Amino acid sequence: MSTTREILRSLLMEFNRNSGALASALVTRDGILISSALPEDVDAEAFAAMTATMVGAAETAFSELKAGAAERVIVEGSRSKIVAVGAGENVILVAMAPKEATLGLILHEIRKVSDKIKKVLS
Amino acid sequence: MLMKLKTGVMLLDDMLRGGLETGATTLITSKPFTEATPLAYQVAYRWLDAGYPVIYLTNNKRPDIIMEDMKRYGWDLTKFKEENALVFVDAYTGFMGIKSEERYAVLNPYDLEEVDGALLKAVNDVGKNSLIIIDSLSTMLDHFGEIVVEKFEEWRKIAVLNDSHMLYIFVEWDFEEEVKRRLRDRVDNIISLSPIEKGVILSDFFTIEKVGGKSIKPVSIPFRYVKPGGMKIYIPKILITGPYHAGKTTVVHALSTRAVSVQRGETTVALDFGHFEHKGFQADLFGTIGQQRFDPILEQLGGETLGVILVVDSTDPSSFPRAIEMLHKARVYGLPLVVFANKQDLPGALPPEKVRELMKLPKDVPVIGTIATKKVNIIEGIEELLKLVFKGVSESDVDNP
Ligand SMILES: Nc1nc2c(ncn2[C@@H]2O[C@H](COP(=O)(O)OP(=O)(O)OP(=O)(O)O)[C@@H](O)[C@H]2O)c(=O)[nH]1
Ligand SMILES: [Mg+2]
Repeated sequence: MSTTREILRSLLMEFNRNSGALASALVTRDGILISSALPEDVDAEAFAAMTATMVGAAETAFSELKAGAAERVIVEGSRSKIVAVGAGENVILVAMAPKEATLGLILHEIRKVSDKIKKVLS
Repeated sequence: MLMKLKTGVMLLDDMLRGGLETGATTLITSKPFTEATPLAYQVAYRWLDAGYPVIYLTNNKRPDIIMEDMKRYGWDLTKFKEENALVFVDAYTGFMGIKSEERYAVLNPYDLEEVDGALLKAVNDVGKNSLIIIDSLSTMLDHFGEIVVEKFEEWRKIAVLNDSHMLYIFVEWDFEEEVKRRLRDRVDNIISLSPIEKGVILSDFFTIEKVGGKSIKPVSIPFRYVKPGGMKIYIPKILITGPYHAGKTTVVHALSTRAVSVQRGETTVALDFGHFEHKGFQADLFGTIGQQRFDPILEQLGGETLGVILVVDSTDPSSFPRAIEMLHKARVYGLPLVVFANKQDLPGALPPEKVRELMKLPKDVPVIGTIATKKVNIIEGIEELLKLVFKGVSESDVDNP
């Protein structure tokens, strides 16, 4: 019922701890924020909208190229990286981690938490 | 003398037909995890600011914690407390076996008569036209059981005799339906706060179920609390779309307190995003791309839109069919819509009525002549859209047959 919001938030916080991510958020494919565990000074709604656009653009690029489905979007930055993965039909999980963080661990933790999130949202 | 004070929350005051009235009783009922206290703080602030006293009975947190919490929402009430315009009836500290420093302290909060005595003393001392907040009724029911429903009846009389307003905070955990019904029957106004799940999105909504003793057709309004600022009506998505170069990005930035755009040169290649805030309303604005080659992104961004601003370049009627096509592509055709006939400052700009005619727009779609670069008619335009989105809300005070 109404505790969904709290559960999602604690799942994200747990994910941050386990994966070494600094921030994570759940976003709908059309860019609306569902839940987030972000630093206070991050504009969560803007981050959500941009993430959805980024994923949507990547998926479109793939389908235009007839290159199969885009499974995740990974952006490597100078100080950090962003990983975005589908977590359910209409939901994207996005995580931000330091540059040094291990991608394998992040992806593993994303898979784990996605399963839980799917259950909570279904 | 009867008076009515506004809560300061847009639409809520309309639905309450002007605000909260002295002599009446209001129940703010909420589901667990949707907070009701910030709304009570907001009403308390309004009351004090207008020069009238507030009595705050607390049985679930310390008065100093409440003061701090209020400050976080932007209302520093220290001055009012020093002047005794704001008084606490402390029915909480006693639970800890500690003596409260408040003037109206309840030594044994497990004794309903003592709670009642302290409240009455406060009511007599502060005088007429006070706002009496009971935080919370649910905790009282937990402690004292159904006898509270009888007390409720007595306190209602106090409100009437004393020209005060009683405001109860009620969190709906496991109470019996019968008890809830009896409480609901005994109040004049019911403001209900609850989270609604729409797909995977959770938003908080407020609804007025009863006004002036009569049930009304409930209309749900989305809101969120902001610190500072309190309760704001919140629309998660207003879509701002329209053909290439029409002025969408300029509109988003003109309306926003903060905005970001993904631009390459002069054109938008992903989206514009901005926070809009005006007269108690907040909305997040999604400005789309205009160029056709980015249409897949447009198609993706339309979901969950509650209202649309369609921006067109009034000097370029050849772009009008594209404008309508974009509404279809974003799957927002049929939603509340306002058309900005933009660039009215340029020579050859068609007047709004001509734009309406050429676009074959229905009569109920407002077409507004705007100059986005000079912010002309931009705010007025979005106000029209808000009116459409919340159409029927102010008229909702029609009694249920
Ligand atoms: N004269 C005049 N110029 C305007 C007005 N509104 C926007 N412009 C100008 O029109 C140009 C395009 O404006 P944008 O806001 O970038 O338009 P857009 O619709 O976001 O464009 P795309 O993202 O490329 O589709 C800019 O040079 C603006 O300064 C207006 O009301 N009058
Ligand atoms: Mg633009």
